[in-house]
Amino acid sequence: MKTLIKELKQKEQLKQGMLENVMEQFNHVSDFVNLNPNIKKILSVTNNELIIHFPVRMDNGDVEIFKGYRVQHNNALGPYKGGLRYHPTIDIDAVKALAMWMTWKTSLAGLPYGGAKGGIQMDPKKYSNSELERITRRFTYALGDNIGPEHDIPAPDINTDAQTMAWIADTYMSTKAPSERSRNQHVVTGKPIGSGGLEGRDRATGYGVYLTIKFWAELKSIKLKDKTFIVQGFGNVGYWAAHFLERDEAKLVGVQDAFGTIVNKEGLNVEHLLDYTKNNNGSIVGFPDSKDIEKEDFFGLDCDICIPAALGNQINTKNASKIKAFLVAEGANGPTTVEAEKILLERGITIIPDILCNSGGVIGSYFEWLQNRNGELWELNEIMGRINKKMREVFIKVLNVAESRKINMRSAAYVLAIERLERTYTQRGVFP
Amino acid sequence: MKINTTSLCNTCVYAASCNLTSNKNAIWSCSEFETERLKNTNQKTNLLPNLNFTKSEKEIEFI
Repeated sequence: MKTLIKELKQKEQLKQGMLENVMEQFNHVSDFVNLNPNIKKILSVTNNELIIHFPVRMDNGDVEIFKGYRVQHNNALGPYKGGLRYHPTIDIDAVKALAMWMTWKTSLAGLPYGGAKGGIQMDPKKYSNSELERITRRFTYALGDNIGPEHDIPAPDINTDAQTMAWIADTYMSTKAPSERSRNQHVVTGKPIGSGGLEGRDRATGYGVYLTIKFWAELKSIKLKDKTFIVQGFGNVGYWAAHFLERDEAKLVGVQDAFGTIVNKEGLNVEHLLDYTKNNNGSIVGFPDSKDIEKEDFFGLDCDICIPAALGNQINTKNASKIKAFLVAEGANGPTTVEAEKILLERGITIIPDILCNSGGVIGSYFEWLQNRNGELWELNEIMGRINKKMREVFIKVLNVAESRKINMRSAAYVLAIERLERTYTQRGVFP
Repeated sequence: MKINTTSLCNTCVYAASCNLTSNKNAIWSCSEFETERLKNTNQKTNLLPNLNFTKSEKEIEFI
């Protein structure tokens, strides 16, 4: 009994922790920018929190009840935007925190979007493909007009993918009159390319990570050629960031994934490594001419650029003082702890913050939405060019704020995001 | 290994042997996250079976 109570308390603390972290960050920045107290009140709470219980028929004929969430934090800048995740750990507090973070992210990126997040509390591995399809379609139907191409636009997240988005789009469009259907295709982003999806959406986040490194290097007159870098996580973000850096003749010298940590001072060929993982159950371990090292030694590797592109809290007080890179580009969400950030900054290491560094994904989503909305089909080169232009604008703004106000890039990014929202509320006021 | 139920690691196939982190609590975002796929994929209700174009891609919009 005592253990159960302890576990419940711990669970509660962790849940609160996430929301508390986001609120703490917001409070810190709002104090720093002297945010209007009335606007602070508005941004401190979510606009709408939807919890839906909906029934779905299982393959064996039984009916199961699911709990779905959609939290819409703020839409001052445009329609709500944020992912849908299917996971047993999802709950209202986690969704609130993630929705709030989406508001800051879309605001910083200069997109005409607000912030939202949602999902279904369930373990997808317990369900067949046809059950997942029915769950998704029934949830979409239950959400009804709480989502919409000009109101709230979901996207893939944990355990949801292009197929899930295609089911949502199809279901949502089916609820409209035949003449209206094709006008609603942009109700979701992250769709398969054949169903209105964006060419190159798979590489948008990793490309954005690479771009922020490139912009920073350009502005500091540093050439990427022969610079060494390490990547934690060889998933979509880590691979594509490494791919583009290698094209600029930078050298990948260390990689860490779920299976192991490999190094080669002379360089690891990114494309060969990807091919190797495809034939090795996704693992990087055993890649020819590489050496395995202990996982604890990864962040202390000799390199110029460090890209944590896997998960949170990886750069902490234990390893921050060992980092040899002069630049940390946060491809993952929250990879650096607050204490570690202080250590890195004191040591003169620059951090390109996650909210800026990995925003290529949501910018890519915006272009998919725009493409559908305008009834156009864009080519890959055009899309990459647009992402490049957008990210450059945002990056320069962040760097300018950081330098003019003498603050670090993370604080500058949050300042820009919050001030944009403040400006909007100041201009339009509060009804009535 | 005991993983807190609020963590993604709780349902990740790599959790037991994951090399990335020893602290598997409160993980809410991870590029390596992989869940065991579907209990039964024999039954197909989809009109377009074998939509493999989505299975290999992790199209996650990072928040």
